[in-house]
Amino acid sequence: MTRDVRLRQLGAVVRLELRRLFRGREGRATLFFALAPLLLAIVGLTARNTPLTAGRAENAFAFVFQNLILQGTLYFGCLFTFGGLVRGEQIGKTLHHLLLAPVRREVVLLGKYLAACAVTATLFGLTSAASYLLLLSDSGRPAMLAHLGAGGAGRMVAYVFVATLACAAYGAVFLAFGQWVKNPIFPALAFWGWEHLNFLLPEGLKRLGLIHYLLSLTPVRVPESFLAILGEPLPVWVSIPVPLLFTAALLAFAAWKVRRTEVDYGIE
Amino acid sequence: MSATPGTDLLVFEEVSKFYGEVLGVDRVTLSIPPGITGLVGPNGSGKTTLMNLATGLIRPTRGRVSVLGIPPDDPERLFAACGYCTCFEAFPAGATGWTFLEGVLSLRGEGRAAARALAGKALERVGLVDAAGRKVAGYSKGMKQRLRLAAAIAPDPRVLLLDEPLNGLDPMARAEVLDLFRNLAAEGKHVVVSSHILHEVDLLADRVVLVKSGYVVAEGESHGLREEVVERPMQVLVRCDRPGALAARLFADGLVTEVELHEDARGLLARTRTPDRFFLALNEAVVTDGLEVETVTPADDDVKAVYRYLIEGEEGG
Repeated sequence: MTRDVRLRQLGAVVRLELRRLFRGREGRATLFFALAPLLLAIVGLTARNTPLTAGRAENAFAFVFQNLILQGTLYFGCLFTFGGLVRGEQIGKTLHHLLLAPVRREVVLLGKYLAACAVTATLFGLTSAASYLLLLSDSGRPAMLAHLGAGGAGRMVAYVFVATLACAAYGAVFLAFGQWVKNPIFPALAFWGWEHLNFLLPEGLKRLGLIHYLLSLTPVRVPESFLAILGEPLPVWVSIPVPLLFTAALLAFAAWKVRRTEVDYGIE
Repeated sequence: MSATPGTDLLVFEEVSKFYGEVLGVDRVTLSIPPGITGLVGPNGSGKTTLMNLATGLIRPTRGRVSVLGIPPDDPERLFAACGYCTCFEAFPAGATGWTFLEGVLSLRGEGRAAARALAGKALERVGLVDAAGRKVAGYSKGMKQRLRLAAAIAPDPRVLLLDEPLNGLDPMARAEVLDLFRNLAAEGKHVVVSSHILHEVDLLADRVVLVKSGYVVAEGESHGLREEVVERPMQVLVRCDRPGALAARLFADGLVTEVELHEDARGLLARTRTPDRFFLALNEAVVTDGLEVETVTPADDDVKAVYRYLIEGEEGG
């Protein structure tokens, strides 16, 4: 089979998966998680009497992005989307439609992963940028424009990039969990605990958590707690390739598992 | 056609499949040539397991399977040559007949126009063109069955595996689909049809493989089966708009030994010793009396007894 045919097959899997995600409950759950920080920002701003300054808005968003988005809504949004990519089709008894086509299972898996990445990165990237702009808008239009012109726009793009990288990396984690165990929620909760406790760990152990690499890329960092052991942010040449390599390794594992996946809904 | 032995056959070599401690099939050895082969056995006998093994949906615990010399773990080559109409009923959410078929065909790497052309041809062959724009969720059981069949035959594979393909079809559709299978076999294809209804397979197959409790208990040519089956009444479930009138007609023609009308007045359970004539009369009722038939489902709960009868007869003879 030629490379062109495989690419067309990959495109077909991506299109089918996008359709499935938009129509299924995974898509709705991801949309809910992506919109949650934006809605909270609206509620928070509505409840305040005094407007935020641009500087405080920047710090407020840094806190929201670090604690609410990265370790909350994005994490669980990705769990719903990626954890159900294969598992969800097993439960819905539709997986065989993909596996009875003359396409390699690895191509099916990759297509599904790319579609889920596109959906989650778009949703969380857009809502992160929207939340940033919304908080900043509380300082007034002139102050907001001045802040954006003085590096704010670049920082907003950086947040979108971190959200995209987080979707790719956490997505690979949950895809692998979904291939490894029947219910990926339990290992995902354990991994969430590990990521959440990362700020308490000494420098060497911090590197065993994805969150450490992602936070190193955020333009503004706020301490998680007075107990936090603050380490130096990792350089970009470490904090980008390491999550990507980790992602590639997990995708390789998921591909190995999907080749061995059996479809027998009767014994599910 | 085949250059090397086994490349024109579906081959199971000492194949066993266990689901944990539960036996799926055990030590099955089969070589299936082109033509129509009936895979017959009661529910849970291992028919679907054999088909799933041949298509790689499940993996054998022991033994080796190949389809035209292709192992099931090579989907690119296997499904270029093989189509599988499963008994799994679910379809992707929100799909219409067209979008489902085009989606399945696009996975082959076909362009949109080519996929649409193939889909159209397949829908026409199974008589589903008019309903193809509607959502599959609103299809009847028979329409879903025909759509699955369309997906299996659309790419014109050399091998067709059909798991209970007549389930839920109305009499007209049954006749059309049986003709379709005969035509496909006449083109030199392998058509493997599973069923728990001996009569269905007897009408269709060149050869029959009897499966029971995970073992192949008999195999061979199918002629002669019909007379033996006639000895036992066959049960058929018919859902239609006027079951009372249908029952009266069937009794008047002496085609049924017993009929039970459903309480909701939308169906009946008939027992017949002459299934051929029974189905013919059902077709006539549809055409001449305008009977609206929703589904026709064989409901032969005595099928195990028939197998025992046949197998004992064969061993005795």
